Amino acid sequence: MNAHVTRLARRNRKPLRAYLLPALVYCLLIIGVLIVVVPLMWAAAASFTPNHKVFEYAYPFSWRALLPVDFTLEAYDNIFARGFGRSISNTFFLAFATVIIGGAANALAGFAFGRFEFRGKNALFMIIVMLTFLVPVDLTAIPRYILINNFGWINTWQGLLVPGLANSLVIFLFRQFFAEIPQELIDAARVDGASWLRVLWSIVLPISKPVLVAAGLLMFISQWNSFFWPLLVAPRQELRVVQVAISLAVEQHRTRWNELLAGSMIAALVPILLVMPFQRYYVQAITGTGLE
Amino acid sequence: MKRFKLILSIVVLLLALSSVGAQDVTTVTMWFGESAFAQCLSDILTEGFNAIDPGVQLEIVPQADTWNTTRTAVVGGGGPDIVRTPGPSFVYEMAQAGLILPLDSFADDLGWRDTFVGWALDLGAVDGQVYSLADEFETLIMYYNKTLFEANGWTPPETTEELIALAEEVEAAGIIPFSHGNADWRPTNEWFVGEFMTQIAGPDNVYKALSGEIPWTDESLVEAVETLDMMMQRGWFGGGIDLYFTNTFDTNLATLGSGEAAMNIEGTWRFSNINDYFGEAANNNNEWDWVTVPSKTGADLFTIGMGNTSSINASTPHPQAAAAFLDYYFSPAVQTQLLGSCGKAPAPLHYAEDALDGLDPRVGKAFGDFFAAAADNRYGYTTWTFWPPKSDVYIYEEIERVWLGEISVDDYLSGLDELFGEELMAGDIPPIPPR
Amino acid sequence: MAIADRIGSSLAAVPDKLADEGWRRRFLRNVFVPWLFIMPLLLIHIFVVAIPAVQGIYLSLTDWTGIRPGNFIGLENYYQLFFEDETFGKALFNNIQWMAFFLTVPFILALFGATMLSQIKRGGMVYRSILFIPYVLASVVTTTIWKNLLNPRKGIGAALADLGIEGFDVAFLGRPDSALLSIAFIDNWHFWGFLMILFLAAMQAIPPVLYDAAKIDGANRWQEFRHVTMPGIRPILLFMFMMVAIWSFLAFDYIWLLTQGGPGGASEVIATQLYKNAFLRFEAGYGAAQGVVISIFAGFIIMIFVMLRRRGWDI
Repeated sequence: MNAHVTRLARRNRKPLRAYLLPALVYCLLIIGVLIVVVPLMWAAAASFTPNHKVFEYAYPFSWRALLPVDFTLEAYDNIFARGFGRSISNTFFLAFATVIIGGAANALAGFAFGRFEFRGKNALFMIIVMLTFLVPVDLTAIPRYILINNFGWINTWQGLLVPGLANSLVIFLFRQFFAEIPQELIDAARVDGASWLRVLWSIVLPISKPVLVAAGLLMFISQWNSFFWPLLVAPRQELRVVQVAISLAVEQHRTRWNELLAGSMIAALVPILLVMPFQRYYVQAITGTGLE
Repeated sequence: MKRFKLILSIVVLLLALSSVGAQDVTTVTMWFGESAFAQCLSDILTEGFNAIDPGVQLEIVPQADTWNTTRTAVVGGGGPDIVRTPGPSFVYEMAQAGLILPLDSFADDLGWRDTFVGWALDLGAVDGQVYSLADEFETLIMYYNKTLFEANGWTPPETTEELIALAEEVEAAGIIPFSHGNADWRPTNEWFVGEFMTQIAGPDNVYKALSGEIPWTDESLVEAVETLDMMMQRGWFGGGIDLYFTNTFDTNLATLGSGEAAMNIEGTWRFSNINDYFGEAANNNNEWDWVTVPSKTGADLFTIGMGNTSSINASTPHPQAAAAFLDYYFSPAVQTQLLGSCGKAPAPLHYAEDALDGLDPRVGKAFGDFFAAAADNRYGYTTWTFWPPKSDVYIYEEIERVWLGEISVDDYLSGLDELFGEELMAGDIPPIPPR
Repeated sequence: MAIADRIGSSLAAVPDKLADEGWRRRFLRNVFVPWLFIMPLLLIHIFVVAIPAVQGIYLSLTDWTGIRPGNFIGLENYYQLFFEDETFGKALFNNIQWMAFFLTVPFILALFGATMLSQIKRGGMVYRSILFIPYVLASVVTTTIWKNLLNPRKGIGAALADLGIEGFDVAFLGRPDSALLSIAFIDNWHFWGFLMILFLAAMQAIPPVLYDAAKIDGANRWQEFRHVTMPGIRPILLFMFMMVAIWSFLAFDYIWLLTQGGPGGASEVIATQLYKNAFLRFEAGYGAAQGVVISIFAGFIIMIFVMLRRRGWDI
């Protein structure tokens, strides 16, 4: 009898403990998700609200702030009327050009750093990576502007594009990945008389999908988010990029909050749609786990 | 190297060719922030100026973060033909670097010495030559919730003493005396420091301190900063020091409009959107009005500030056309039109008596009184226009440490005195109109 | 080292035809081809990175105002920075606090979140996307949202107080003792989702066989995490440690947008000081010196990781 009770109790206690821990974990998760979601819902709702009502329910805060109770497409209409669509296509073009040209230049260099032995290799690599960390962008902006101005590249695609091609994280990734490729693969091709460029193109690149995707994403997103340099080098409306277009909603003494948020919602969608399907490659490229 | 030279000469040749092609029309470029306000200015200016001479056209480029981009571009040898800066200390630097042109010959030829009020051209002078034209004259005034005042039987104060007494009364009624806060713009702090110095120590003492005749630790200036500190310590600014640091402009104006706060010392630039926070637009039945910031003696004093300056880029290929635009822009007719249509603060020119008719009477009275005071020697100095740059940053950064009790008022002012002394020695002081 | 060895040993294994290359081939292989491959990137770097960077270093040795060209003054800016500027030490200390926060909180959150999400079979993509959105929002937007939510009288804290939950209606950003931590909280709100996505992807790349083996050995959840998950994600974990440590010295935009270093210098970091010196106080040469110092810190961090790697850490 006694033993039976004890056994019953034990049987009862174990499920209880087994439920308690996940319950706690889920409570924490829910709080965590709320902290992320509540501000996002407010931002999304506010982008569908007339500007003078943006803070009406957020301030003092009530649940109405999380739903577009005064629904209007005014903010979206306004930003598109001022050429937001053009800014999006500009930025897409710019980001794709960066990925293709920058990808080629960085992959070539990454291959050389990863696969060849030559004098001064490590020093050169360190210098290239380190100099990019010579912050701040705002200070190097003036010398860089002078240079670009001397080329006559103000208000041109080249002026926007070229500085975005140098990305030390990308060359870091390429070097790392290429260095891990088994030597036998390359030797086999070389014995067959293939040139180095041929080896890179038909042997190395086909097995480098993770690093290509990851580097492409990195360059695409950094170009998509770039603000200060485009603002400086291409003030003309025809060349305006997304982040600059969004920032125009912030005026000196007042801000059109709904337009700021509407622009940001659209601008945020693109990187999310790109990153989500490809996140695996990103990690594989960094960790080198992509090679079977 | 040879190849590089070749490319360079091709580029130069192309550039030369392209400018030959465009020679029949000269384009003057100017950068503005993009906003409804800037769009309004832009439309009026482009339409008006371009009709004058088809051979000289104006192009206004909307540019966010205008000053940062202008500085970088001009220092880098590019930028717009018309260079706009936030104030005299920036003009001083640009003129020293040879980045902008002296305007004296244009001022003589185009009669600017008569268009502008007496001391206005001197404000743009560097080493005896005029380099910039002052625009957007602005001052600080005290806005108040008129409906709230009437309901409680309060009258707007005229002296500092009355101001303090009123603030005590307002506080006792459970209302925040001043809807102040600096979360959007930390230099808001300097408005109050500068304003209290002028209103309590008096403009003469501030002038003497600015010209190095008396130290910043002078008794009168200590009194001014101590009064400010007292008001902050009693929680009158925004409801408490920590709230002051978190209140945004939107909060400030909304609390003033709703009657949760009674008064707000702010710039005349606020005329452009204060109506969003009163009456129907804000779901309340309140009205606003303004008075001059109360002074110790009770005199009506206005501090002078400058929102912008305009100069001509030294790298412009057509300075004449740029000057023609400045001549058009700084004319009473155009300035009045911009004030009436867009709410732009006017440049300091001589205006006709009826120039301010047709404006909201409160706005018209503000500019009328302000210009009268400026002509009549009843003016003081705003920190952002008349203080040299390092002292200016010190004014608004370090005052926070006074408010937080980390340093004393005396420490604060002796620190300012030391820094100001260095800048005075180096000669980096913006011009001050003599009293 | 390891790479060189490997190339050497595998070269020895290939047929004579290749091993017996003449000086011409060696020149091609050891000088011409590598440099040819590097050249396009090198040219870009020289023009848009190296020249401006070297100019930046030179400017740190002058009294450049940011507008007017300066005079060469040697190491005076650096002397002033390290021996005379008392605020620099405070800013550096804030950077170190910032780094301590970002090397712990987001990593713990991201590991926790990734572990949880890796067990969800359905709808995982939706959660992931939601948690990732803050990372791609512009900083202006994030800071605006939180400035309003954290307003003590009107934001979430006030709403909670109305519901009877006290303690959150505090001006977190307006108090010297909590300002920096609040900014870090907001920045982390935006950042941790990125880390989580990376860890999650790394976790999913771990072969399920390893988990099965652990289960057979009778490992509990913690042991499983400790001995299977952690080794699997270690490379990306360490890499991100390095990147976050470097980024900690560059922290700028969230601080600038929320407090500009205030109140009373409580949230001042090197980058905000630099901005004020360079663009508000007309001491751009001095600001450039601060920039160079930040780069040196970044260099130190990279060196530490390179050394750890040489000692056989798998980074």
